[in-house]
Amino acid sequence: MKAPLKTRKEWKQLLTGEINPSIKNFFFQMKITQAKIQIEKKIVPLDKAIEDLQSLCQKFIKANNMYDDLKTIFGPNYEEEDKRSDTKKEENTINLKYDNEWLSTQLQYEKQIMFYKNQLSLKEKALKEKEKLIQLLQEDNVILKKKNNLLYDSIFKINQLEEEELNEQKKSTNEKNWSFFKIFKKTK
Amino acid sequence: MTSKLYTFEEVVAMIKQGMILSLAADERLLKKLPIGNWIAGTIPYFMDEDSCKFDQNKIFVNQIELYNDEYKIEIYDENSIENIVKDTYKNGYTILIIPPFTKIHQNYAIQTEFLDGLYNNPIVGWVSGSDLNSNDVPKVFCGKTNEIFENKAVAIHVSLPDNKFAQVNIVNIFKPNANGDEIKFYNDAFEVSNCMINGRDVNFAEYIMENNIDSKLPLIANYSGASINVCIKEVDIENKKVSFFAPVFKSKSYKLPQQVPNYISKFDEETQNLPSTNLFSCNCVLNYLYGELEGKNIKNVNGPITFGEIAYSLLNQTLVTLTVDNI
Repeated sequence: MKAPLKTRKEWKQLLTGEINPSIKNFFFQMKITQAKIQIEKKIVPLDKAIEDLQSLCQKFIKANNMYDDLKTIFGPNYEEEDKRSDTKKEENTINLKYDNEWLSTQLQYEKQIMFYKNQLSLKEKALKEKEKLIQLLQEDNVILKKKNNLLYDSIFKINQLEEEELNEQKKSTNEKNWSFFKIFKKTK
Repeated sequence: MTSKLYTFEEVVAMIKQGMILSLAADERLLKKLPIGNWIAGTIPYFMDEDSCKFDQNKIFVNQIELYNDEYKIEIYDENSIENIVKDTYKNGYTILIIPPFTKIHQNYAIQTEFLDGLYNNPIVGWVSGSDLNSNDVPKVFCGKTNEIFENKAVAIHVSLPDNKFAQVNIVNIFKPNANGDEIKFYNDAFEVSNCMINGRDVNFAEYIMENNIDSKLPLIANYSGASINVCIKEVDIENKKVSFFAPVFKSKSYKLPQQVPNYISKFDEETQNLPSTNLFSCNCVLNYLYGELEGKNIKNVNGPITFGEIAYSLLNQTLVTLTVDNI
């Protein structure tokens, strides 16, 4: 046998005079009367009065008429209702636990996603920078190539000129030689 | 052991055996008892095995059975009586004996309305008395210290194991007259002048006289279904005052009862459902007198007939019983 849960509204109704059921157990009658006065005179807060009354009803539940009195106030099936309410509460607690776990996992995921997003955005930024650098490098390469070409051209031209000059020199030397030879032959 | 009247010699033997006892008898017998584990109050009226009787030669004995060897005897004065609740065990009961018409009697009666924790364990007991045709002063005794008091109370607190619980039951043969006048008082008091009758300010002594109200009838208040009596001690027409054997409370509405033609048949009717394993019982001397109970037997109940009964609060004209049951 169990006294009704202290969360049931009937306790408050009983102690505030909203309901006045016919009670037979002497202890219960006297305790309710004292509790009502103590609440009215603000000696004891309602919540504490309910807690006291419920725990004393549990202590004296096997006293004469007590169980019947509780059934009169809370209904003949109050124990089953409380059991169901207890199971529901338990289910709610389990659900809440799962919800909390799910939420915490979700939060962790979101944190990870944020982290990856940040990483990605950093990566993207880095890639863009890289692309820019590559572009710049490529541009530099083109310029360099152009410069190189120019350089090659210049070198080629210089080489050509040098060759031409050398040829000229050779030609002139040959001519000189020939003329010398001609002169030498003539003199001979 | 049966709760009943025993000879002086039988009680001395019980005390010497170390029994824990709650006693009731004429003071001349109690004064001669040896030191021991007992408390007592003076009274020569009893509900014995065979009938209700006046007896100054025997002692009424309630033996206290111990279930876990824990008990204590305490003495209270008018200031310390509020500690009675703190002195109780987590699970158990208390038998309290108070001398009448004293400050402690008044304080206990009025304080119980607000005493926090009063209902955690049953407190039962009685108000000591004397031969109504004598000038003896009612007293209480503490056998443990061999002390006698006219203005202090004595209590025995008994512990119970978790598989047992004590419970109080009362038998009030009076029922309020639902159509009667509603009486309300201005203060919590043992004596009043004026009151409100159906919302009108009236002198209560004049009201009693003018309406030919039988002052043997108690005033009855409804405590969430329990009928709680307050008996009239004296109607003083000259000073226009009425005094009571217990206090009237400002917070309560009172009604006069219907007449009870035959007290004994009403008691028989009401006590037939009581468990026969009463550990303690007492009844009011006014029921004994007004109901002419002398020589008549109240079924299932033995105990002293007293000047006031205690069942948590101070009651009047009520039969009180205490039982210990298994959980």
